Amino acid sequence: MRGGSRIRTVRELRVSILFLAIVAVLPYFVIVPYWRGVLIVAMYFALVSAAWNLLAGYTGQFSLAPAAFAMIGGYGSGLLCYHFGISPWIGIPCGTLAATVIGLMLGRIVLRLRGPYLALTTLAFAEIVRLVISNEYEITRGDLGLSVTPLFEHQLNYYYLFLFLLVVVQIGLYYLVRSRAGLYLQAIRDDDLAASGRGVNVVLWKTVSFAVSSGICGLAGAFYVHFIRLASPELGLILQTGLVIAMVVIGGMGTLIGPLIGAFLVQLSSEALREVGLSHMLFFALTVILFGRFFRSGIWGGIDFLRDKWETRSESKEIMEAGGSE
Amino acid sequence: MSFFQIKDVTKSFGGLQAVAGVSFSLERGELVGLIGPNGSGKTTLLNLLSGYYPPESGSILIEEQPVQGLPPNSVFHRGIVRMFQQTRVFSRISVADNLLVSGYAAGLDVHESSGRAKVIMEKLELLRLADEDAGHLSGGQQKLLEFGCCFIGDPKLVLLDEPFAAIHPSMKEIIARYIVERHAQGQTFIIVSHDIPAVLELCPRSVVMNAGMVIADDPTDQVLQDENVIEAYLGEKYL
Amino acid sequence: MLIFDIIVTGLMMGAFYSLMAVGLSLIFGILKVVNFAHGEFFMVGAYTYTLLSLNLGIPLWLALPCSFLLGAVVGWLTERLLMRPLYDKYTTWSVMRDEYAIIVTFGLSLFLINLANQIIGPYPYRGPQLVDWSRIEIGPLMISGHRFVASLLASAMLAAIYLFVRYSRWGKEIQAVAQNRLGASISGINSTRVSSIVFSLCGGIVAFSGGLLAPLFHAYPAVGIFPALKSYVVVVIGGMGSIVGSIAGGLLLGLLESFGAVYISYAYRDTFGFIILMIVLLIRPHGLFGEKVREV
Repeated sequence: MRGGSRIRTVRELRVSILFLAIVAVLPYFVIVPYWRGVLIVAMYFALVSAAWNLLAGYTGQFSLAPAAFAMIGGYGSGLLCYHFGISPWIGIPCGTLAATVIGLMLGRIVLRLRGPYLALTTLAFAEIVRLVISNEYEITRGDLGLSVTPLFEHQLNYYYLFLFLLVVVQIGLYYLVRSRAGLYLQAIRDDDLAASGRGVNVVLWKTVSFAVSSGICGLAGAFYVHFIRLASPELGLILQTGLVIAMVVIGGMGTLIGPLIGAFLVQLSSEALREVGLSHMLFFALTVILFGRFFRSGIWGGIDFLRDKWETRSESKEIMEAGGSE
Repeated sequence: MSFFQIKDVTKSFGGLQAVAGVSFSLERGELVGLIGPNGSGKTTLLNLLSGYYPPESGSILIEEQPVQGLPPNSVFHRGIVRMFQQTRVFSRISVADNLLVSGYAAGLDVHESSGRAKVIMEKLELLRLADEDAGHLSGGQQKLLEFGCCFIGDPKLVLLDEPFAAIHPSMKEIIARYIVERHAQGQTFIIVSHDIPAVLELCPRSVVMNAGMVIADDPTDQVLQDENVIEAYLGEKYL
Repeated sequence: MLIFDIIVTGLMMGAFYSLMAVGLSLIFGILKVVNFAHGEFFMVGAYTYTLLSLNLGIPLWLALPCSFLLGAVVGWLTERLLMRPLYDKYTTWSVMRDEYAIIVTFGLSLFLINLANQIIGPYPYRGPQLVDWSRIEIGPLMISGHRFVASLLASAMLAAIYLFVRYSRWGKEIQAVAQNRLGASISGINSTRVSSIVFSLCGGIVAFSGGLLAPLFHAYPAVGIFPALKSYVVVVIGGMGSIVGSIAGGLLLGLLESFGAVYISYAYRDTFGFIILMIVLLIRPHGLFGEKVREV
């Protein structure tokens, strides 16, 4: 791929900002509350996808627990709200903190694990957390969930709140990826043994990546819970993690914009398919398999590839023309 | 006292003793070859020196500071860097970024790191590939890159594992030239290699290992006449 | 006596866990990757057994082998269509084979679950019991008739697989490829065909378990998820690639859950395995029996 990793990242940020600018003006065209709601859910997933992409796409740690951390964030805030009447504006930071701290601990625990071992351990963790929440009816009301107070009265406020979060996270991730920390993470992803030998504190950065990723998931979950006014164990189902993975794979893993494209695409198509009566999960599962099998770099990778082809073509045209005029 | 010292280092895997009590020392600025037949424990020794395994016993000291048992990134910070036998680069970031990883890890700021990276890429004829993802490079170019990454942080000791293996002679030339250049500036090297002519040409002194132990430690031309060494490589009937 | 009851229940359940784990273990031994669609082979078997016998009236002793067969077919297709890139040279995924395997098999799992949901529907079907005796008395114990027969069949299948891998020609080829794929190819073994055999075998065994357990767990789209998760636990504890380890691990897990359900907590009986998994992985990342892999 021409241009190298640095230029790619800048390009991805520009397109992300453009994309989010479009999302910002969409409510002028999309007036139906239902569809605005769909877009808000897409933004929730975009946040979780971006977080998971940081961990898996940039650091190479394929965790199967992102949905669990969103759930932890959601319940962190939800429990405080339900049992003690604490305002969500305090509850949400608490939920996010909980997710970050637990993510830090889990990250520290799974340090030496790779590939399937890491995936399985995080899967086990996710299932245990979900089972605990489902079973401890006294505290969590189990599968009924906790009803929590909303943040705003108007849907549009939620829309721009989530958009704001998304913009902040995207820009934050951009600076992270471009910083030396970002290089360290990618080095760890590409070869963590060599990275250690070249001076990278693999222990530290793997843990940091885990904590940040879990924190963002928790943040998203905490806000989401106050949007739908319910904290439920459904938030942490493996199915949700599956959706997140699908979104990132389809959009383009290891890129800034992949999770963004993927989340909106999957969420919107999912609604469209529902209208037609087809099972959206079936379609996405198939898409994940096909992308995994044939289009490793996802949709963004495809766009990038075509753009490179176009650039090389116009370059060779220039060269030929220059040569021809001699 | 010595610049770099290994004392009675041992390491076994299961029942097999890969390194069975190795001791030698280096002065600053020495260029030492580490040779021996396959399975003699050279690569294991390198892994011990760079922190990938802790030795079961013995000590490793650089400028009097012990480094045995430290993880690889701490060993890096004490000044020991290494190259791997099977080339390892960070394939999904650019050549320049590969170098920057080591630069930043060594504590250099952006300007210093980029400056040094540029110089190294020039010397190793990789400059035109600076923005290419390392995974797109040929095997030989990747080896050059991995080699270059060793030098960006002013290491005290550079460990090279088969730097001349399986690459085009022209690249071998580049690597050898750079080693000579750095050596002239006072860089200390240990080079593991099966390429005896190269070792003979570059390394004034050689340490020979066999079956986990040092069997010779002398000027290279002497070592190659040593009976024990010939026997180790070729077997008894060639004596 | 309660203790005997617990032990026997645990061992019987353990036989099923062992059976499922052995399949997963074989795959890991050959391809060094985990198959996340493992549970869906189980589901295929459960549905085949149940629907053939309930809807088509096929006799039970025929329905079970049919589950095996269908599972084998699904396994074969999975290998043929999705797993080849793992040992093909020309793939952009070659650097990240773990990632590939997880993504693709995870996708397959979601696909199969939703396919079943779409075509058959979410309503659970109760598979017919193998035998009519609901309770058998053996000494001081009262055991469910079906469970008893089913676990005997599972054990028989386990023994058959062990003997097959250990002594048959194909079994030896499997062992060779598991130890050294390249070397095996050079020696003339068609490692691709071995992979096909292993996947088909695994699919068959696991589907067979699904059929055996259909009367207990019923048949519904997500029925395979928990058995699969437990297989992973067993395989990791017993060591990926080790048949003996998987058998031991399976029995151990069965006993653990049985004791845990009675003495610790019935509600959390499913989590004991996961907790043990996490503990084992932290102390010995390669399981209790598996091979240690040198990294550098």
